[in-house]
Amino acid sequence: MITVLAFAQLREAFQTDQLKLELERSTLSELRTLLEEQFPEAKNTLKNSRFALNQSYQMDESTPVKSGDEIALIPPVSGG
Amino acid sequence: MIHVSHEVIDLNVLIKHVSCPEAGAVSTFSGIVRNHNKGKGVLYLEYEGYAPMAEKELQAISEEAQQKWDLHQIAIVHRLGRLEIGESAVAIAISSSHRKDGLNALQFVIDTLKVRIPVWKKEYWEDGSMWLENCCA
Repeated sequence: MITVLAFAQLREAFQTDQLKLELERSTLSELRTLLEEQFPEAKNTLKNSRFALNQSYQMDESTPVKSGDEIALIPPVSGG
Repeated sequence: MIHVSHEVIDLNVLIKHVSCPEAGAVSTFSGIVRNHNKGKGVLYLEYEGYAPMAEKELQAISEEAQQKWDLHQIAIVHRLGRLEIGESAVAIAISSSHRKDGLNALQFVIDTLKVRIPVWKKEYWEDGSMWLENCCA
């Protein structure tokens, strides 16, 4: 079980701020593909979103996710 | 003093925090909710954030500024939740011996946090609302 934290537009598209997925082993790239399939209406926002792994941006999506990792999807930011 | 909060920001608290006898300059910035954006009237904003990561990124940005310029202290507070017109969404205070370092660091901090920290604002108008985007990757 993998939990992905979602914010802003993605939280609204997923209708939850904590999306739970039945996945044993996965890379971030595989996770992205799965989300695009499950939420086609959010495809554009997903394409422009970055992953954060344990509260740091993770641009290398070949990175595997392991149990205990905190994964978040970061849509285009607009702080400040 | 680097954090996100739902509390009203008091810039004087930040100023007091960074002030010290060595500092010849305290540079401050306050980002305020304005009543217009791209020709549309804005009623209010809602800020959402991934708080622990936002604080981590703010801390990193502060350390980068400390590396680049000769500074004493940096304080940054970003507010979350519903903000009305005229309220401060983000405040920065930087103390330095000399003003040039402080002013340059100030510009760097606000410009950088706007494209990096995991915080999002939703803009509300009479006839709808929209999540804004400062940048993508």
